[in-house]
Amino acid sequence: MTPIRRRLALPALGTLAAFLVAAAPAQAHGLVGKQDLPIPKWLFAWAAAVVLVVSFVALATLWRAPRFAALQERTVLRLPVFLDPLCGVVGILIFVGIVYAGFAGTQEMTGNIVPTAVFVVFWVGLPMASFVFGDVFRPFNPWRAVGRGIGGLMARVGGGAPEPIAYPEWLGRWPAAAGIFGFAVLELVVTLTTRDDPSVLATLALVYAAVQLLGMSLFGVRAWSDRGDAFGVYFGLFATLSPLRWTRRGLLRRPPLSGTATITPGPGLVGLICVMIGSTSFDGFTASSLWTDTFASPLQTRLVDAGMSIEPATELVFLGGLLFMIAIVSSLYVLGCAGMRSAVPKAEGSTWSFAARFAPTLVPIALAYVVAHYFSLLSYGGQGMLSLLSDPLGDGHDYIGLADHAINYTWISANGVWYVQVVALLAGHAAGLALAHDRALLQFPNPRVAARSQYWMLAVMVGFTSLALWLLSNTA
Amino acid sequence: MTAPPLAHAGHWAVGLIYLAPVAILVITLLVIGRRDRLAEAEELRQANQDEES
Repeated sequence: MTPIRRRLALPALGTLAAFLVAAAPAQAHGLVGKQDLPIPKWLFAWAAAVVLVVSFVALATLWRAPRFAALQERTVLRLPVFLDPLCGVVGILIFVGIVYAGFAGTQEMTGNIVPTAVFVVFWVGLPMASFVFGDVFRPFNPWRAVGRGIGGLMARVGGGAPEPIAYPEWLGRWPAAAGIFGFAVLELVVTLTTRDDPSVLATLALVYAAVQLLGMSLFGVRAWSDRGDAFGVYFGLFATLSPLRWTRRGLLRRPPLSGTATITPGPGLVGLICVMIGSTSFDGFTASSLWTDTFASPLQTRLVDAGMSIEPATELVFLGGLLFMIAIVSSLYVLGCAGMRSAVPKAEGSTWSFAARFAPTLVPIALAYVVAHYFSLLSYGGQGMLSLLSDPLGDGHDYIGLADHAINYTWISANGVWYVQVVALLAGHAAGLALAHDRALLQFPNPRVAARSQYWMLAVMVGFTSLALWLLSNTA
Repeated sequence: MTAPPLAHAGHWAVGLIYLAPVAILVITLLVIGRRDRLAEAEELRQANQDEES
């Protein structure tokens, strides 16, 4: 940079910074009284970036050999063989109960157990439970239990089920990515009245179950459950971060995060994880004034002016926004991988192969996004499950005496929620950095080259952290 | 009539401050990358010169 340019650049940067800081109060209206943070929110993003850079330097200097490649597991508990089928039966009963409540219960959203069970407990609670307790969904997975039950029955009565078709390699986890995208469309695009209608949710649950049974009958229960069952794969990915792993025979303990080494990179994995991160980001983005004022309202108006009715116009705009956000997340990640490839001398493989190999390192970030965006929903909405369990159909019953249980909104302050969100994001991205560094040490045996390859992944992690904190700062 | 995006600049422009760490990091990485490439080219040139002499 020439001296003249440098002289011009400094005042320009100063002016921009002053403009941005001065603009803060305009954006902060509506937040006063809810949160009383000691420093501006953007400073949290800056602090998070510093922490990530320091973590990166620490990893590069102190973590000189791969640690997660040789997975060490220890059995901590032996389980009776009947427990796995018993859990399957319980899972089927829960599924049947939810579907029944959807059709037979009140169609009022807050009175019926189905919307809260689906959008709070299942969609938000299970990822967090999977991280803490391991893949708790797998033994209770009703579709897998039915598939295995039918397979077992045919083996005993009908002389065995026909041989399944070999699962196509090219299909990979694309069915799972499509399933999670479909759920995100239901949650974020479809209009509120349709989305929260218990009978609609029950119908969709039955359709999903039918697709799973078809997939399992074609490709076999295990092959389909491992790659095609969207929710099974989704919860299974989060469970790889857990220090616990369940098998039919026992409970195993392992170092946290080490399970990600068992994720096989293949077709659809990058797409699935980008859908996971992109859809959560879009959920946060839709609460910002930038989305509403700059994108949603003008586009909606144009579509309505062009002759479209308001509901499909809104859904189309939101669908476009969701796809756009997934594209941004995917592009950021692929750019990071392109940078990684360029930083390695004589790198073998394309940018896409790098993207596939390093995709498992994004799993903790996807979890961090879920925790950060939905922590308040789970902490408040989750309490609502107590009264709903007591009166699941909303018809006035009080089975367990908790029908009048009120949600305690004061157990955690608004500041507390913000700190949980920041810590979750920071921990998730630091874990992502550690996993990427460990994987780089496997790919590039020279620790210096491995550290150098991660420069651009560091930029991606800082970018994701800043994006998430910016989105949260608009929604809190 | 919808307001032009600039009318809401006060609401969203502050978001740019969140980008600052990313921008600083990307600029730093570009500078490091350029410096590394120049150093590698210099090493190669030196090696070639040594071979020739």
